[in-house]
Amino acid sequence: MTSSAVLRLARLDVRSVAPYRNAQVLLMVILAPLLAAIWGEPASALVMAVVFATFLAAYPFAVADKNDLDTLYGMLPVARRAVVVGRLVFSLGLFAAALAYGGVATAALATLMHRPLTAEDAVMVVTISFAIFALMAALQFPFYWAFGYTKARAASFVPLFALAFGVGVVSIATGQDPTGTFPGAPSAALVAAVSLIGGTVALAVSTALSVRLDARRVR
Amino acid sequence: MNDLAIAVRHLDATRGTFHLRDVSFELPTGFVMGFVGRNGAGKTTTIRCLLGMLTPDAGEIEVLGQPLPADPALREDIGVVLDHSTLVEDWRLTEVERALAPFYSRWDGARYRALLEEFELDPRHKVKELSRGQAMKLGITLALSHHARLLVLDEPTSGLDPAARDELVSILGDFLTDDGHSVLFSTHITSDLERIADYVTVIDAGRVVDSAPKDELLDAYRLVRGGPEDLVDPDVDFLGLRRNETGAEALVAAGQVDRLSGDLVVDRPTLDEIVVKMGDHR
Repeated sequence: MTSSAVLRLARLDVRSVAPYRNAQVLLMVILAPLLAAIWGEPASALVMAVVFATFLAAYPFAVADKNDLDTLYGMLPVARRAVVVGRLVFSLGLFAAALAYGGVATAALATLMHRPLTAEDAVMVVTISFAIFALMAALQFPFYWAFGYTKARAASFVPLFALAFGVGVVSIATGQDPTGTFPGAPSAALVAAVSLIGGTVALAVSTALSVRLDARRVR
Repeated sequence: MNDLAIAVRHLDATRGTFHLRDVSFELPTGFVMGFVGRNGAGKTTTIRCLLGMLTPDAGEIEVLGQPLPADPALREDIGVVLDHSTLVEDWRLTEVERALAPFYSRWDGARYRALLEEFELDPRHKVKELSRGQAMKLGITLALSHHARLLVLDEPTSGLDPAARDELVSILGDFLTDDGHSVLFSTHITSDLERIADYVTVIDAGRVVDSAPKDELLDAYRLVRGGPEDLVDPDVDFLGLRRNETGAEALVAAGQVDRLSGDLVVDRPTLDEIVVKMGDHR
């Protein structure tokens, strides 16, 4: 497996989804800053862009399932592992694009609304967004590689619901709004470090598992 | 240059509940092999093994001189045309090239465009707008544009009209003008092979029934027909014997024809008759 093969496959993913979802992307581009402005929370633009990217990251699986691209991957001169890693690279690229767009929209809104973000806030939002994105991808992708998108679609939402349920339980148990600030919450630096390291480890473990599951499925 | 484009020896493989058992055949470089059998006989499963998409349970496979599993770069030399599209249906033919060209070190964009023009395929058309015949031509175009040395065609003529099938045979003829090029052509429509195949492998129920040069295979059997009481000679193997009120019909080894008794009609069988009778026999 070479890095160039991985990048070629990530580009193939971009081309695979390119004919689709243009309307949704446009909607997100308009809605994210618009809703953030209405809510008066500049940082929501970034969060919405990342959440949208989280859902879009699964789209290459859907396109591949619909068009039997698994067979195409088998015919291309690339190692099967490169397909799995290429999909990870595609999803990270998607996150980076969402981060860039959401970051610019958030900065612009913060300036226009005279609500400047502190560096600490910015780091927290970015790193927590990464952790959410990474966790979702890490939990969902192995399902898709193991069973294919169509069969795994319903099951892949289980982690999302489990996450939401967990946040709800913590919220009720602590009596705190999960979107607010917890008294005695750890420092921004610690949250950022845990988010970055946790997200990266989750993606690494998930990808290693995905390679195995995919190999078993296409065997 | 290696003498064999494909060598399959004692291949066992499982796909779902289907099993290939002891499949063996060889395709010499520079020739066309027809891989024939009914639907579900094991052709696609064998091809998936050849392409490294399915791991065999046992046996050995060599493709273009390299034992499998081989480096993925081997697939640069293999062009694959299936009976269905494996491309994003909303890609235009220009986008197909942009998507796939980066994977092949010998991709020839000029050739891709020339072949599209030769096959009257509009580059602005989407994959989903192509007819069955046009989709097959696109598959051939892709294979030839990365200068494949071995073409593997899995039921490429399925659903094609006779004119499109004839055109495919002509395209393959052009491909074979280079001595280093070889073709494995899987089909259940044996008439496609009568003109183009040099070798024929017959597969049924996951096992190879016969594998030989086409003319040898056709010469090796005779189709015999007689009355309802005929074809009962105990020392003759009747393959796919069918008997009804009006008569009896079976395939027999050419060497056993002298042992037959009765007033019989003896013909050289077509490939189709050989495949059907061998399948019935099993």
